[in-house]
Amino acid sequence: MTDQKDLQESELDALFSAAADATPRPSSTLLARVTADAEAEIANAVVARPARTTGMFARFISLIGGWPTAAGLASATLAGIWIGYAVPETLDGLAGGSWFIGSDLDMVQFTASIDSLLGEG
Amino acid sequence: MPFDALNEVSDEALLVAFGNGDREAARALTLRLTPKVVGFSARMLHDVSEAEDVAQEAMLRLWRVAPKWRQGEAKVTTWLYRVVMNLCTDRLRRKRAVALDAIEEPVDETPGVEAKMTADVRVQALHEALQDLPERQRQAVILRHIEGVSNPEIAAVMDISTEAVESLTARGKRALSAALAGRREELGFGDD
Repeated sequence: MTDQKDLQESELDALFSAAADATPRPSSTLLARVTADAEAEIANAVVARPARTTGMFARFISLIGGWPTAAGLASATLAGIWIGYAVPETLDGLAGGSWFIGSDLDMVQFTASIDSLLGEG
Repeated sequence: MPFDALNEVSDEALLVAFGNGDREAARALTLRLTPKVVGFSARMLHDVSEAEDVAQEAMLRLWRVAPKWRQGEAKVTTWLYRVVMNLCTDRLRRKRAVALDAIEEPVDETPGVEAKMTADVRVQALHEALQDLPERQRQAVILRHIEGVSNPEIAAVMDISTEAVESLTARGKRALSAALAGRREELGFGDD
C-alpha cells in the first residue's frame, strides 16, 4: 500500500456525506416509548408534589382543629377589637349619659352620720 | 402554547418547561433530539436495534434530570451526547467481553437500486472502517464529520481540549484514509 492510494480529503468527505445522508431515523415505536417515559415522569412528579406542601401554617391550622376553628377564632378576635373601640360610647348611651356625670351622686351618703350614732345613745 | 411555536424555542427552555410538567415541550424535545441520539448511537454501535435502546435510556435520563436542570450550565445536546457516548462505551465493552465473533454484521435490506448502490457501499465501508478505529478517535470523527458537531462542543462532550479534539479527528481521518485505500475502486473513486 502506498501513500498515493490513501483516500484524499475530498474522497473522505464524500464518504462522510453519504453516511450523514443515510442517518437512521428513529422508529415510531421508539418515539412512542420515549413519549410514554416523558408522560410517566410528569405523572410521578404530580403524585410527589402534594406530600411536600404541608408547611408550618397548614400544620398549625390542623393542630387547632381545622378551618372552622380558625374561622371562629378570627371572628372572636375581630369582635374583641371592635368592642374595645366601641364600648365607652355605647355604655354611655345605654346609661342615659347622666348617671355619673353631673349627677347628685356626690351628695349620697352611704354611711350613717355621727349625729345619728350619738342620738341613739 | 401551539406546538409549531415551539420550533423557535431553545432546547434548554423546552427542558425547563418539561420539568414544570409541560407535555408539549416533551413532545417537541422528543422529535428534535431522538433522531440525533439514534444517529450517533447507531454509528457508535453499528446496530440500529441497540441504538434505539440506548436512545430510550438517554432520553429517560434527560426527563429525569429536567426538574434539576441548571440553566446556562451546559447545552442540552452536549449533555445528551455525553450520556449516549458513555452508554455506548458500556455496551461495547460488554460486547467485547462476551464474544467478539458473536457480533453480527447488519444486513442491508435496502432494495438494490443501481443509483443507490455506490452510496450504500460507501456508507457500509465507512462504518466498518470506523469500527476499527480506537474508541476516542471514532467518537470524535463521528461527532465532527457525520453529526456536524463543532469542535468546542465535542471538547465539552468528551471533556478534553479543543486541540485534543482536532488531534483525534486528524489521526482518525488518516487512519480511515489508509484503511479504505484498498477499496478505492469498490467505493467509486477510481484507482489513481
